[in-house]
Amino acid sequence: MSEVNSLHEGASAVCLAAVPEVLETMFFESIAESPDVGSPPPSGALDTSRVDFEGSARGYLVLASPSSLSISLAEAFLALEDQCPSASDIEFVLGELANMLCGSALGRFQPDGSFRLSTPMTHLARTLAEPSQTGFDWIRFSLDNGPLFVGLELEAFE
Amino acid sequence: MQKDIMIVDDSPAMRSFIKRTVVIGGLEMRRCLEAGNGEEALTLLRNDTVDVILTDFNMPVMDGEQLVQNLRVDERLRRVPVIVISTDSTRKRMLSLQSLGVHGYLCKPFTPERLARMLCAAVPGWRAREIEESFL
Repeated sequence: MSEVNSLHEGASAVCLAAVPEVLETMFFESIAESPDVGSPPPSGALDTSRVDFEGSARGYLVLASPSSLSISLAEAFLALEDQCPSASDIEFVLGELANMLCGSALGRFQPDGSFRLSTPMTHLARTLAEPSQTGFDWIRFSLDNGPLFVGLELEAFE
Repeated sequence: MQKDIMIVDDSPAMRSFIKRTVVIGGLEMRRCLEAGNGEEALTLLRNDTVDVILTDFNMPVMDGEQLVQNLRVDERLRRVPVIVISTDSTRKRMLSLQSLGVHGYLCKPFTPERLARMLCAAVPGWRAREIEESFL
């Protein structure tokens, strides 16, 4: 197995462990079916959030979500009842989700490592450029209000 | 027994989430002071005190580590328990904060039960009621 393949599999493995834990613990969301590794987001507008990191390893985590799921995640996290989340609420919650996923994945990947995470960059209703041409495997997680797509790119190690 | 707490985080939504999680965890609060960074926290504590401080690590102006350093050299506030809540789950960060004397380090994601256990261990006399059934 090449080093690159091993790295991809390692990135997928930590995402597969981190995503359900974060969603269930902080968002009270459970994953409906088995996650699908190597399943990029469809073309069209999606809400996205990306966190870059450096330190013991360098790279970024990105997530993509349809609007329906973004709204339900914001409602769950902010405990909104009878009130729709605002665009800034949704941006904050998706950024916080990306941040937690990134921290949780990196902590599993290198428990003795040291990382600095960037402020999340979140965009609503954005068309991803060539999602199938990334250097990592997207993972599709099925939730009640739509699929969540997560990718972890590990570019280099210290 | 009700206690006074302070939550320090640059995100109002995260402060609200943590406050809600303390309640879900079965702990009763008398007051909950909120600050957007370490400097705001120190300003609020100039003429006040709390039973425990829950703080984020990465914040603008003054981060969680600087806040703890400032608290530890203040004769009046040095014994206030501090729990750091962060997404950084690496051992290096935890050890560095432990060496500063923080009482707990809680990695996101966390459950209300974990937060309640940590608060009860840090604050003498604070006991959790049963966690709300809807969240079990």
